[in-house]
Amino acid sequence: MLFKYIRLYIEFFKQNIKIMLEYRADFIIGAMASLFMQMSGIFFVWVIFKNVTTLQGWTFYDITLVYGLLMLSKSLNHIFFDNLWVLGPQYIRQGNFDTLLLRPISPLFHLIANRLQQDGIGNFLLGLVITVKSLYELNLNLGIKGVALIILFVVSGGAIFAAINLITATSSFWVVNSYHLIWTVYSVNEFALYPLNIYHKAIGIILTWVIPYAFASFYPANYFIHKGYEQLSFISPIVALVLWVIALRVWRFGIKNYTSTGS
Amino acid sequence: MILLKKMLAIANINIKVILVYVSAVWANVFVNILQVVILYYIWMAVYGGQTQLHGISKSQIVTYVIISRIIFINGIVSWGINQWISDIIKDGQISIEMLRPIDFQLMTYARRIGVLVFSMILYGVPVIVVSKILFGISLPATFNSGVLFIISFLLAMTINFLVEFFIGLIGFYTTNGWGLQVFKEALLSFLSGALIPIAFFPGWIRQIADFLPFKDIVYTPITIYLGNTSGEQAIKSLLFQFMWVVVLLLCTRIFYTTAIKKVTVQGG
Repeated sequence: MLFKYIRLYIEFFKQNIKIMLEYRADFIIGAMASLFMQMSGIFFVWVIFKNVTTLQGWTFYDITLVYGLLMLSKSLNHIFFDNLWVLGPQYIRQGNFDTLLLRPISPLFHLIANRLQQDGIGNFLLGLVITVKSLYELNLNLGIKGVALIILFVVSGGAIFAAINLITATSSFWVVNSYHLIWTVYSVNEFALYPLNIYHKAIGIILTWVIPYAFASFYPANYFIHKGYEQLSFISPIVALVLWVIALRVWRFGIKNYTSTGS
Repeated sequence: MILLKKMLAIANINIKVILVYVSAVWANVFVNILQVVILYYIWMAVYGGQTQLHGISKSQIVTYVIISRIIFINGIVSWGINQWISDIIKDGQISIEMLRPIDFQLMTYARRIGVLVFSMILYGVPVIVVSKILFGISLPATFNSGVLFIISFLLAMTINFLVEFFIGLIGFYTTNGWGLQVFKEALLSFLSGALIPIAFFPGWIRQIADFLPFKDIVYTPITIYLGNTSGEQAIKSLLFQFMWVVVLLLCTRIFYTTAIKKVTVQGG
């Protein structure tokens, strides 16, 4: 069963790569544009640190590590789960969702595998550069265990992003346009670009227990740079799992309520 | 009875459609307030125990964050006029727009003012009100600063329009209007001082930012508002803004005439 889906995903993947190569100029402009956007964000942090040496006890590279980890998680979600954003407008409202239901595979899997978003690739590479550079500058000797943990943390982070988007995207079964709800909840991740302890406590609680984006950046970073929050770093994979269990339940509930458009 | 049912169904659909617009406004306001909150805490951490950095006090920076966000939403980040120009170039609608008995650029300017007023009321006002409740926002330093700020703001929006117009015309050479918009956003959010006051920039970047016209979109009006630029200096800033309006107007005019020729060639 699992192997069947892996094989299938590889087939979808190949098709998506073909589409990408077909529109090469758009691929390059898209990747460059979002890369440029992200660079202006990191540039902001850089200028801030031209004026101060630490921010609430965090050095420049401490913060770029948090920043880089979030970028990696976010871009995994951007590359592989981007189709969730258009579930409402492109699938449900136009009646294309029926096609997914007719296929002999999980409609959710089909929906996700249908698109590979090239715009996220530039961000992934930039996130990788920032993370590696930060770890190097912080003189952290990771070893194999450390590298494996980083991969686990980033994958968990990506899963957290995807699960939250899945929950909000499921609202497409009831409302005309789910985009604004997805966007509103998603935008909360911007808090997680910086260390949680610079904010009011309430914001920290929300980012940890309500919309837990902090598990995609702040807590994993704490495993490597001990700032007093490391006891929570290992929970990231568990948070991701729990969120997916919830998200799948919500999704099933949504699909039960689905009635096709008449057209 | 059946008629009533039908009417209710139609009403229901329309309510759903209106709700889409309402939720768009709410989402937009929420996201912008969220940005203000993040920047507020970052700046509080940056200032720490200090009350003043680069001639900007701790309470001034809060006002700076809020006003720059307002200008950012209504100027730089809004889809603005460049996207529209790119679109009408792409689908050929531009030929009809050019036939109208009014100068194309002037017509676009009027259009931009309409968008500005609309987004100011819909997005600007709620962000100001909520930010004021959360963090407080100080009034213009003096009555004169207030008046000069208004003039400076109008000049800033004109400069912003001309930059947008210029970028829109690049649409004659590439079809990726979205890419241009993102580039504009990234570049301007920085060089205008919308993210960080120019005074905080290190040496050479500061020189570049000071030289370019983008600082006049956000940084210049706000320093006038805060009273950090006042008197003779403020007048000088306004004159510089005006000079940029003239320079950019000439540039866009020349670019427009050149680009139009390309259309004629294509059409011929």
